[in-house]
Amino acid sequence: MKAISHCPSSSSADKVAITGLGGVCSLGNSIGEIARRFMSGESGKKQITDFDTGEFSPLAAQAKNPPVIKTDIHPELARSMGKHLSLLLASAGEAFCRAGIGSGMFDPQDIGFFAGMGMVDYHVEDLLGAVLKSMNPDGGLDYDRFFAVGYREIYPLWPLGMLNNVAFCQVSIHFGLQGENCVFSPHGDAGIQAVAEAVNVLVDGKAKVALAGGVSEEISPLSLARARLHGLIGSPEKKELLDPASEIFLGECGAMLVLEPLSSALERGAHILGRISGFGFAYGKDRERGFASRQAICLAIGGALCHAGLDPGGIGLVMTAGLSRNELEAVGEIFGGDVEPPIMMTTAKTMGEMFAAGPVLSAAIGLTIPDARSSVLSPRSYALRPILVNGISYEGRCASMIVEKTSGETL
Amino acid sequence: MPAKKRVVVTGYGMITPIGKDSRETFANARKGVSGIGLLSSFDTKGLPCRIGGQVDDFWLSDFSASPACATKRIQGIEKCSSRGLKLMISAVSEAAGSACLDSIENRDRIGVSIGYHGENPSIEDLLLLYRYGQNGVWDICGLSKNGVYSFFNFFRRKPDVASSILSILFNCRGSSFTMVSACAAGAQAIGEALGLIREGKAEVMIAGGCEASLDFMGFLGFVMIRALAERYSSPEKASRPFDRKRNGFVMSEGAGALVLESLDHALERNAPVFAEVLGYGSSADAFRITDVHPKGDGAAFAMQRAISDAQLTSDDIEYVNAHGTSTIQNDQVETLAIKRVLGERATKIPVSSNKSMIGHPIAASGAIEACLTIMGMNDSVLLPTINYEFFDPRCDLDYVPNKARQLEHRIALSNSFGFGGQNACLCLGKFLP
Repeated sequence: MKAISHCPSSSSADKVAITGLGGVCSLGNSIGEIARRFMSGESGKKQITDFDTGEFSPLAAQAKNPPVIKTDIHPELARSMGKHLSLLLASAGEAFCRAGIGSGMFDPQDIGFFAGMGMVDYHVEDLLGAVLKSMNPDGGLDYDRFFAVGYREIYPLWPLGMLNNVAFCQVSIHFGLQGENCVFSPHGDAGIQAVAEAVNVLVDGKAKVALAGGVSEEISPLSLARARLHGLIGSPEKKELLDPASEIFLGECGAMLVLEPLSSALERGAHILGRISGFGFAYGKDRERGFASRQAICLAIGGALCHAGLDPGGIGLVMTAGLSRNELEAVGEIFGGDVEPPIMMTTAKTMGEMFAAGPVLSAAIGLTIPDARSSVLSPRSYALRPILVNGISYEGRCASMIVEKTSGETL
Repeated sequence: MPAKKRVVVTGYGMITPIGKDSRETFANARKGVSGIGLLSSFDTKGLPCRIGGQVDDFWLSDFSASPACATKRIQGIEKCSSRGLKLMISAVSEAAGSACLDSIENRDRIGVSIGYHGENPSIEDLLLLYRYGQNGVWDICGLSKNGVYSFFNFFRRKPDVASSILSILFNCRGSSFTMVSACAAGAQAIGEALGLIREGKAEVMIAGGCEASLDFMGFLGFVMIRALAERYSSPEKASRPFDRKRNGFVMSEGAGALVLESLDHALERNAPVFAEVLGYGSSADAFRITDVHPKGDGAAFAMQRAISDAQLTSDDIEYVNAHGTSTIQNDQVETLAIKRVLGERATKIPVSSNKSMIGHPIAASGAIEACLTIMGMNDSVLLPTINYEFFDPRCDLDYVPNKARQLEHRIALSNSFGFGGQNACLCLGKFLP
């Protein structure tokens, strides 16, 4: 076990309680269902049938039927926002519901909202009409025609769907969230950044409650092509992966937490599902393998342990991002040695790479699985021991978060 | 209330339509120079708006030879860098130079926080849609086989690439993140960096924002939602915040960067201190995606939060650097919000809009305006709102019309209100040891 050098623990983060969880992904439309199916070893990986995947990997973990939440958004605009909107709405709705927070309970200006948002992509069909209208007889694009006529074929609010923050703002409107806010993008680290910022705002007294989490990309030809060109996913014929040890597939997910200052959550009689204990962040790209370097991941994990005032031996469960060997080596470096290593799990192997939503969903599952009474954890139950969650970006950013399960009734 | 850790500005830099660096930008802004002209970056024929604020390409011509790029020798940096990122590297190079960032040994405690949205799809991308998606089903097999769609297109589209490349170029191994909150992104990036230093998670943060959307697809979006100025006698006159004849904003490009640092760390290494970031507030209108809240609830709340975060009262505010976009709605509602926050003092407090000169550089605006606010405080100069000719009874504050004004001021607000309803406000102060 690597000794974590002494650092001042802020001890501020553990004053923040998790009172609500929400999630939608390939394994279900609620955290309870997702955790149960995850623990029973189910996989959400299925054949993509929405579009022709060509020579790209035809497998992904799509959220096929996210709950439909009625909004007053123009259907065309809602469509242009794609699954970003439905995943965010559904997971936020469940989180608020589980926290017992309904309309009018809090002043809207006291509700913060922080999210990591996966990449947004344009829909081919939104633009194709404009191109087709602007072709010259030899098959080239007639720019004059495009500028004069073609572009008018594009739905006027199409550009809104291209902005990462628009689905976020739409959820603010739907739930009436007017407090402090921020949108990070697009990988796993962004989801943890969002939760960290929510904690800061609550500790500073700038909000009384906060919704925080993340949303993945929508799986589309563009997202597959991007992942393929990044060397993240292979193709049936070619295996030119960035890190061959970590072939992944993409997953869709929205995952949100409701956070409150512990004292006020207890005061209102909220069920305390867990506590946020610490965060750590670092940057360092491994130019050969891609992703974050082992040293950077160690730095992020070490930072989170310091912030939480914990030694590695105090961690009961590590939810890894599951994207690269560097992460496994970093975890091995920090947790290897003379104490019983923590249990390790990853959602990436069954629910795919879920970008900003991944670590938030992992935290929610970690807080939920003891309730699932799965035999997988017995007899080495990690219950009531802190959970370390990692989020890693392809570009070298990494983040770690520590959450603790609490027995709400005894608090 | 316990005292918060003091965070100061030890470096700043920018590149805008009116200057290749902060000194030139400030000098021209002081003279009321407009950076708005007919667009040359793409063919605007047939569009109802044909103007914008472009950064001179010449200023970016030696991009690859800049010290940051040359020393790191990142393979393909020219290819993988969008124009927005190149602008950002220029601004950060200036800021890092003035802050003597290279002299800091512990790079684990230096982070990067950037507002940026990635590059827009191009017309060439649309052509590919035609070739490989004629029937509405994209032939990605064909696309992939032909290799016509470059890896770099995807790379440049990703918002996190800017902060990641900056982390590499400037050897910052601490937190690195990207805000994507539209026009509020630059200010939010500074606000988040402030929080990180206060919390002790970093000692130094490079914070700011960049934008380069003066391409057809980027521009088209705003044309289609009718947000741009379409009636103007000359390009230079089109951006006219708070003027009765304003009729939309003028899009521009640029980048702004600050080096934020804990005061203790700055003093310990004898770094120059240019200003103090006193407070930050954010809010959401939660009203409509395409309209601001008519009573300015979100805008007022962000300002109040920033003042409160600075442990000040509205009586302490001596200047407001307005979001001031030159749209009918924003300027009227922002005026209302300023009145709600400053009360009876509102008419006596100078308010001005830098966008009258540089246009609206979206995610970069908050950072550029923060830099200009700091420079104004240090030179005791209030930058003007140019093109202010016709009084609008609904915009009745002192907008520092047309000419810069000499006035000592120590505490200012800088507003940024994002499309979709995200609002941010920074409270900046002249440095008082």
